[in-house]
Amino acid sequence: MVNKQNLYTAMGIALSFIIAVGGWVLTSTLIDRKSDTLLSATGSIQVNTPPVSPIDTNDDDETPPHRPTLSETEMVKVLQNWEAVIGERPHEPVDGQLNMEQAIDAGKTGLSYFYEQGVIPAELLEYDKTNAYLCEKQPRGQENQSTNPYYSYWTITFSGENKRATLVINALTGQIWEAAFSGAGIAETEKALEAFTSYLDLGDGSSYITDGTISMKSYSDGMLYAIARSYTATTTVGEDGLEGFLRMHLSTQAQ
Amino acid sequence: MRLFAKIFLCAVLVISAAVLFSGYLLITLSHENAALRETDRALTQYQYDKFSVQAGLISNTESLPEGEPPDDTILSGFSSDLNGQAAFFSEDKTLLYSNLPEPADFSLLDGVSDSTIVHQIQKIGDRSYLMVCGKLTQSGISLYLLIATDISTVVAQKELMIQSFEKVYFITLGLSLVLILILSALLTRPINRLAKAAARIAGGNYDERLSVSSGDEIGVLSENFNLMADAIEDKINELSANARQKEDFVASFAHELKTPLTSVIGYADMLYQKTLRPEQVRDAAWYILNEGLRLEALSLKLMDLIVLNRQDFMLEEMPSDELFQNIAGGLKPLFEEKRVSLHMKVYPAYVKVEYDLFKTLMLNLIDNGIKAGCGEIHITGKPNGSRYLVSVSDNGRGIPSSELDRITEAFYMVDKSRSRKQHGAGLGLALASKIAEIHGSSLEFRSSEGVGTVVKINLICGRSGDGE
Repeated sequence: MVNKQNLYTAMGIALSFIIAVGGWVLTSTLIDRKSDTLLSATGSIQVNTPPVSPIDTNDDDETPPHRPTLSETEMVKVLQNWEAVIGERPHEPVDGQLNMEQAIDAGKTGLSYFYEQGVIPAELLEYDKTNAYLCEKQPRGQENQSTNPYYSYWTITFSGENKRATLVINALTGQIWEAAFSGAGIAETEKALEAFTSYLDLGDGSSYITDGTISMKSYSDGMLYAIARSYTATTTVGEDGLEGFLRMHLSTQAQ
Repeated sequence: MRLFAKIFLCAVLVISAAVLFSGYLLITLSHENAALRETDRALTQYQYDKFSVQAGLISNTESLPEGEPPDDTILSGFSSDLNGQAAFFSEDKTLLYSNLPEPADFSLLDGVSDSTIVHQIQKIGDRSYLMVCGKLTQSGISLYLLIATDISTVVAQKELMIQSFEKVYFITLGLSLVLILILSALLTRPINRLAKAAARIAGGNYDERLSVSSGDEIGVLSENFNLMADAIEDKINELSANARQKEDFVASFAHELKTPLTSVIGYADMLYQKTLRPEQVRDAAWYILNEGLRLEALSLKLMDLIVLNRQDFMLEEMPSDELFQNIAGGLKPLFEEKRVSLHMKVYPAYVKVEYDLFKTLMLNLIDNGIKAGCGEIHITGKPNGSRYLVSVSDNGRGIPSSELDRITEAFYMVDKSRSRKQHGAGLGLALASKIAEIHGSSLEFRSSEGVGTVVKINLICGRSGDGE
């Protein structure tokens, strides 16, 4: 009786160890299988096909295409979206938005304008490389929301040796809402701001502040600001060994 | 199977199942999330890379032949600007350029369309890649772009998690099981002690007890076990005492039979074998008669004892004065014969008695006093609450205090020779004690040698006497 009892006890303890080890083997096998299934899966996503003719262009006509414009209030709303959300998501252009070629053209036109206004030197009109991407600000957790054409922006970069122009273009209006230049011979902020507000048809604004490195105009009772900021760094670039940086942008917040 | 082994087995089952299930969920969910995160990141990166290639195509529009895909050099330049490794395919899915590790599987191209991007995880060599493939059309050129992102860290992370989980599992299980072994040993120790104690009791060691050190279920069990052991010990002692008493009874009975029978047989033999003178014959016949009477008294009292043990008696209410007057009246000739004076002081009340038995009880107590050589016997009776206290006292030679505990045992005689001379068999007080029990009381003896003996009995008062 006692021997039988001891035998059963030994069998019970042995069974415990078999369960412990067997459970582990089973679990790791299941994890591996699950992992294999996961790693061999093929998925797909549907994307918007870029519209062939997103705006009312007329190839036979030499006049520039008509682009919609935004009121100051609408601009403030778009800027609030851009400033409030940190994450951005690249996407294909939707109906009403500029395609890449149009965005690059708009960028080039803007560069020419700023050159004509004396904001940037002629060197910045010549570049080796162009890059462009279209993004929208999309809060975390709302990735599946459909794209609002008002809130997207093209970021166009023209770059060459020791020079760079980065333009943020509203994908709906084709206007440059932010421009950053680096290189030699860039104008001061006051002149740049005048050219920038004139480019955007914003007028004189309700107040004007400048302290040499920052110039700022406010619009819509302080809801919208046009800001130009510059600074220089000592480099081997340029005639005077100084490299200039200039950033012009719209904002809902004063600097 | 021993209890601790059962606890151990159950604990292993529960802990293993809980830890393994949690680990499985944790690792697979984490792995799935990592894969999803990498897929999201790769799809976003693909879009940036696609824009980069499109921008490159726009920049190179003038140098590219109309509708022809770019050559190796241009595509190589494009791919150097991309974050991942890339492959380019023409519209008819012919590979134009690739810097992907070999052998990559390009079958995912089959699922790609203008509006569909396909992603797939592939293991190439010892590394895992997340392939994202889509179609782009720019400046009249259509290309399939495949971007491969190395996600080996995700797989490595999973392996690392499994390894860490393995350590955690076995360490947790090991520690838990050591703890459970200790706990089960602690839990089963009092049960083992209980089992051993039960075995020792079964082996005849009835004074075995457990020390109760806790108030939990096992403590209660131990306490109940001790109570059970007490009850068993008491019962065993009682049974042993009964058995001993019966043995003593049989031995005493045999002895009490043998003594008169020896005399009867001796005298009868003498009468049979010898020619005796008439006086001698008379003497022999007297002895035979005398011993015969003793035997008869013995048998009658034994009969009474047996009857008392077997029969149920109904107590009836009687007025105490009438009861004691009747008893005293019946004993008057005996008192006169023995020259004993009786003094009786009885307060009236109703008592519950079985008249014949109570008379026998009183007769035995008085007979005992007379045999003790008393000259006076006092009988008193007075109510005492719900009881009626009867006291029979004599001024005989008394009983030694060392004998008082045993005088109600059958065949027990303080002075055997004197008792036999008086035809005593040692059954009178045993009978009296039994009758007292039937009356819901017991005999209480108080005696002093040379002074006398007092016997008290508490009768139950009747209802009729409540008001008196």
